[in-house]
Amino acid sequence: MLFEFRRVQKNFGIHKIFRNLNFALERGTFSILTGPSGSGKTTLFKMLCGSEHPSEGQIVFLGKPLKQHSFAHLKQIGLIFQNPKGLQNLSVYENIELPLVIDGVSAVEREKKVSHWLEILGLRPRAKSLYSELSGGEVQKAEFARALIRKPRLILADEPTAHLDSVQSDLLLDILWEHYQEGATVFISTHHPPSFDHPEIWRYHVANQTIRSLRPQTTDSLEPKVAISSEEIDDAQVHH
Amino acid sequence: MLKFIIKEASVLVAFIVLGGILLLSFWISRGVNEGILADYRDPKVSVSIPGDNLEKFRTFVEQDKSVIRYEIHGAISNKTKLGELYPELRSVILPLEPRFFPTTAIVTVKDAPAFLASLDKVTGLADRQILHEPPKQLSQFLSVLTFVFGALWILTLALVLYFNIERLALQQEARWALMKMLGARPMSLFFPLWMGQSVRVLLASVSAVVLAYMASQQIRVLFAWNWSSLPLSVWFGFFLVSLVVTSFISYGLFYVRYRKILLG
Repeated sequence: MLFEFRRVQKNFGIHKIFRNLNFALERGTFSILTGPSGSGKTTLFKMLCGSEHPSEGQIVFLGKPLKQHSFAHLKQIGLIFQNPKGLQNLSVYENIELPLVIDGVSAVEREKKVSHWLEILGLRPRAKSLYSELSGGEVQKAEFARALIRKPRLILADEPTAHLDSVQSDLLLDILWEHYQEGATVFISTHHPPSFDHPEIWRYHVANQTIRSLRPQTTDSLEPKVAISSEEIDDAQVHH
Repeated sequence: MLKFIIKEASVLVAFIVLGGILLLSFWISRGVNEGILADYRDPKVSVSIPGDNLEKFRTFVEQDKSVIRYEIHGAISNKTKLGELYPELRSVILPLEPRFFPTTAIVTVKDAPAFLASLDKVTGLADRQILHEPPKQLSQFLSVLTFVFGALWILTLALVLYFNIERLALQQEARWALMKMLGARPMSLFFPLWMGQSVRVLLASVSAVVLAYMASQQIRVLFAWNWSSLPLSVWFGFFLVSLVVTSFISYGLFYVRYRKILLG
């Protein structure tokens, strides 16, 4: 089990986002979470990466409460947020190589990896441009490259294709799929469900303080990799 | 931002002034302890001894464990001293026979009441009294004063560091958030910040030392005190304490601030 939400409740003032949520995410799954704006997708992502804490209940990551993990656990997670978070006064190249700088990777190795991503995403001509000079789509691709350059074991992407056209969106989703096939766990949220489909993709929908599975379990070979916990289920919990 | 800079500059000036006052207070406390208090560190008792009891008294003070040292002044010596003390009465005092003047002793003891209690058991001693008790209250007052200035100095240092970190946190929030999201160790962000703060505090400490030195020179001239300057080890100790306290306080403040930064 990678993540487990145990009877999680999240409130913002009197506004309840989640109520009594039990939700578990297993390793090696590719999941897509859809839902209307304001339904709590981003809040769920923030809770997953620890920047928001549940009002009640507990989130467990790799068998240990999330709060007990040091900041270093974030190295294992590739986070792509809805709004770009790059440093405006750094170039595209410098923004993408940041995780490798933190990890103490040599300059030669960094250049090799950054060049690879610049090439794949078509950002080569913009490598030396400042973040502030990029279009929304270019920034999103650079953010994407930065999140994936470490080859993280878990990728959490909140609206990763929001500023991209369908061709670029498909390219990014293909890259995420490749990572999934190499063993990474991918969890995407979007309010525009991607067009591509595959029996291994698990789709979820968040609305009315609850998360529902949209894909019934069809075959034995496709064991659900995202599962609800064994605790009692009520309306506010995940439904398969 | 300007508000922060003004606040920072104000507390930095306060830090320099308080550092100077702390050092001055320490210098005065040390001077008093080594000068005035060294002479009057132990209680002194004066005893009047009739001539035929002198040997008995001498045996007693030699054996009493409370006695540190003693001086015996004979009748003639006391007569001369009295004449010098009251020159207007010299014509009256000088013709008097020495038998009219007692032999006295000034005894320096560790514990005056205990010594007097023992002395009461020795018969034949005409009079005794405590000349003075050591000025412990002055010493305590100076120590408390130094402690208070020390506490104020640390508080001001904490404020200097707090305002500095708050300003930097506002400037660097995006960077810190991103670095946190990427799993960077807080230490990698803290170290450059600590370097800047340490240099600033060190310069302020040098200013405080210069201020204290100049003020002590003025005080020496003004009051004609001949106390020596604080040794170099005290100056370096001051810099070292500044740096150590800076490191602890700034890491604490930084860590609390860093934890509040949202990811990404």
